[in-house]
Amino acid sequence: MRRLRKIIEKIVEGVLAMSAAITSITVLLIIIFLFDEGLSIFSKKPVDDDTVIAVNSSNPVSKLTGLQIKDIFDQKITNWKQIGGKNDSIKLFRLDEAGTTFTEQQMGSNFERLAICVDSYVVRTPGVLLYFSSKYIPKDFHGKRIEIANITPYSFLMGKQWFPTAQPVAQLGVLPLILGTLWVTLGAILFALPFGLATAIFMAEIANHKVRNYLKPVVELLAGIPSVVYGFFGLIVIVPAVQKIFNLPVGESGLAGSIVLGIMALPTIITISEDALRTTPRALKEASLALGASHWQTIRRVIVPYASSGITAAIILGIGRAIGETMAVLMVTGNAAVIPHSYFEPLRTIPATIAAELGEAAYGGLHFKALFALGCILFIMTFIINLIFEFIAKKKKY
Amino acid sequence: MDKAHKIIRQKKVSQGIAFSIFGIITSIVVLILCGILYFIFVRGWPAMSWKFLTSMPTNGMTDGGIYPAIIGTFCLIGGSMLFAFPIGVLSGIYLNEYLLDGKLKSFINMMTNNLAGVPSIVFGLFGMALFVNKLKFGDSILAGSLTLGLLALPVIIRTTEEALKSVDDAYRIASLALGASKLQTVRKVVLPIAFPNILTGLILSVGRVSGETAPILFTVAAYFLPRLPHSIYDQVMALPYHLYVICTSGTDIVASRKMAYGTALVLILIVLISNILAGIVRSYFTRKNKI
Amino acid sequence: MKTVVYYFIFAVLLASCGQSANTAGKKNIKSKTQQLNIKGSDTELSFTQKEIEEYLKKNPDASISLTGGGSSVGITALIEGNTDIAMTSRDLTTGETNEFGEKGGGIKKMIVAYDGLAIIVNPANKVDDITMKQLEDIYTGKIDHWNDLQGTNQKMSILSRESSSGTYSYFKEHILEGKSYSSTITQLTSNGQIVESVSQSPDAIGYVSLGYVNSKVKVLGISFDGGKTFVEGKIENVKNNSYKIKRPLYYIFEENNSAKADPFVNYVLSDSGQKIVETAGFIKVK
Repeated sequence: MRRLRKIIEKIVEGVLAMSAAITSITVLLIIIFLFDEGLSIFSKKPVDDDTVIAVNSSNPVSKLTGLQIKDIFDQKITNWKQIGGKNDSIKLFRLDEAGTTFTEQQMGSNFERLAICVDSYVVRTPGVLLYFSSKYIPKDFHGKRIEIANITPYSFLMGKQWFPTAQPVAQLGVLPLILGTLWVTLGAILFALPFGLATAIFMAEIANHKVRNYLKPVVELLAGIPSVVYGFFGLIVIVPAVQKIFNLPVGESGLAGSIVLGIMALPTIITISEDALRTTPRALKEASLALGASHWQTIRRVIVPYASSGITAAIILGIGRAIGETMAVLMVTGNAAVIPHSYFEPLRTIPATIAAELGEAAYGGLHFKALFALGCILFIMTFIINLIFEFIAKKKKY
Repeated sequence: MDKAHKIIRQKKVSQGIAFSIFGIITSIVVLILCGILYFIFVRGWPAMSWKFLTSMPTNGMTDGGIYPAIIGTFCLIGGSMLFAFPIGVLSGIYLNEYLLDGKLKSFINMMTNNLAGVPSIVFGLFGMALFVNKLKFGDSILAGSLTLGLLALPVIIRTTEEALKSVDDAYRIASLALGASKLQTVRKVVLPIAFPNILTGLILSVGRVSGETAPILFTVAAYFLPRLPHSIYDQVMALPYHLYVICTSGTDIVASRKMAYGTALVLILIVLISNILAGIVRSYFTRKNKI
Repeated sequence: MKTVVYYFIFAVLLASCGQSANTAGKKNIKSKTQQLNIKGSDTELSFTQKEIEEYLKKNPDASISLTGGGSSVGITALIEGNTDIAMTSRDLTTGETNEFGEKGGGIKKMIVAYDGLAIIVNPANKVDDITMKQLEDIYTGKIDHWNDLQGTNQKMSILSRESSSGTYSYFKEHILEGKSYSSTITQLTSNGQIVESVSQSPDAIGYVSLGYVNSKVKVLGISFDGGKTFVEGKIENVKNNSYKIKRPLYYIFEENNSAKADPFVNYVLSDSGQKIVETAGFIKVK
């Protein structure tokens, strides 16, 4: 009997330990999944696997960057001279043009002779830039294939263009997205900090019990309201208001995003910094008052400095909330992937990008991996913020 | 003497100014926060009716009700809690009652805190990669509930731990001294005392789960599905996603605005009710324990 | 030490679960349920939703779910087996066709409606017409002031759809002729949002499906011959092919899944189904 009980105790403990392991395993799984997919982007080329980009064999150009190819297809670069070649205009040749260049007789009814046509076309056109599926490229191809540089961490993080679905070369530069995220978060904190801190001080020190008892549940309730409701409110009230007040062409802007995020961060900042302010020992406060300091002087010189680490923790947690916020930002910031220069322009954040584009990205494809790499960046950001938060929170306990 | 008066007066004036500034700022904050609530309530109330809560959306989602979205949200809440609640409570017990302070504990604590800080869209990303694609659940209640459950897990663990921590050690020592085993102590002594606080934690996390949109975007949510789910492999409509789509991509955004206000109000009401319920549970048990 | 062992056992268990589910076969669990899942183009949401409403009135036992997100979302989901029917407002790319080819089993592409793409501005805007060339210049970033189009001296706010949208791809292929959009354009997630935003701001320009146009926005006439004649963006003009920004709207599904998809698709193609298409502001398939 006793033995049985002991065994049961052991089993229960095992079950408990396993449950406790789940969070750690989840975090590890998240890390594995995110980084496995996300980092594999760096061994890839920003083109589809079966895409061939080639030029005439006499062309001195043998390497092109993704950006150059994009500019060529956008017809911003039209001459080989601009990218270090001979003075000859660039002649684009894509699958669409095959139908108008060759007759059906030349290609064959099932395109069985298309490869030969393509090959001869490349040979006789010195200024050609070929963009074709490898299916229609003959084995003994006489053109010169263009090397496209792999995606490197540098080009990914510092790239200024985000066109993940661009053809033939996807532009995967996340700098605008990172800066957009930081920019809108900065705005939110600049807005939320003075308001949140003042409210926390008011609630902790100035207001009487009754007022506080009314305020506290309201703030708690607002912390629980879903972000999509804030987004909805932002879309209907703040976006038109921002547009009218600042006379902007569209209200969807960094400013609208910052305001909405700021309002969302308020409850977090208020609650945590109020708790921190409250932990000031009574003795300290009374000593200050007994020395003849006014209540305001005590708050300014004693209570706030004492609670400063708690307040910092509140700010950091507020930043964490703002960085990861998705739906509200997606709805009000306008989502233009440009490096933000002012708060009055649309911008695009990392979470909004993932939310808007994940559905269309083919599982395991380049775009999919790029979005996971974005997830990694976001994860690392919040991870660091958490570590700082824990560090500060730990320091407080002495 | 005069100088002292002056200083005292100055002190009073500056305190008066500072306090009134704080008062004004606080009123602004309260005004903003209550303004949002008031705005949604006033605009959403006319949309509320029995029909709105219990009928299918019709006429391009500009008319009818949000019944399937409400049911869908409850399915997701139920599914995620079924997964997260036992695991969360058990691991809270393990962390507080069994595991001694040390490297392992601080590691698990760190991981739990980190999980709590992971942005909800990353949960969506992970849920889609693991549940929808890797395990081939497809867009389904199962995938959505598991994703939401993972999101709620750290919250439940934390509240369980806090609740257990607040139980006086004297109870444990007394129980062990009477010859009870560890399991008996936890089951018969510690858990009953901590139960109300654990329950409040659960109720509050329901409020949080009900409003999450980003994790369900790619794991379960449907735009229009005027049927109740038959199996856990079905998609469902959900309130937060419904609000998102009808205010951004409805067939006629302006005409469906009324529905949007109503949906927003229902979402706020769920949070409000769960907060009130948590308060009631808390005060009920405090009163009961006093007697 | 003991706990480490527990962890290890647990991790192994979890991993084996994942593995067994993985080897359970490529077929998605999804396809076993009775629910017909339709996913894709935001443009097609409006009429498909009404079709489902009517279809369910006639077949009360059926279960159909509809999800938006964009044409690419639908196609991706179809490739991965997460949906039964993909709605798309653009044709498949070669890459996507290849993907279906590799999967084996053919696909069925059904045109269920035609749609005109309207260029819309605020009713307060003085500009009434635009040429294709100007349109291209606006969206590639060469023109950004209304006075280039004989309008007021205001900066334009240029609205576009998200890259997941079929309308986005169609516009890129046919109006921008494959060139990339300028990166400064504002991207909104749906037709409805563009209409809403244009109706609010006097300097905005956007493109939406004709089915989404309402009285709060003005549809620009378009010249397809370099400014000689302008064609009004109206359903009649799309029907008689004088308005050339016209595209087919597809339902795509796998052939071996047609038993599940056919009843609904046939309903949409029937007379009463096509009537719904017309009342929603789209053009029926003959």
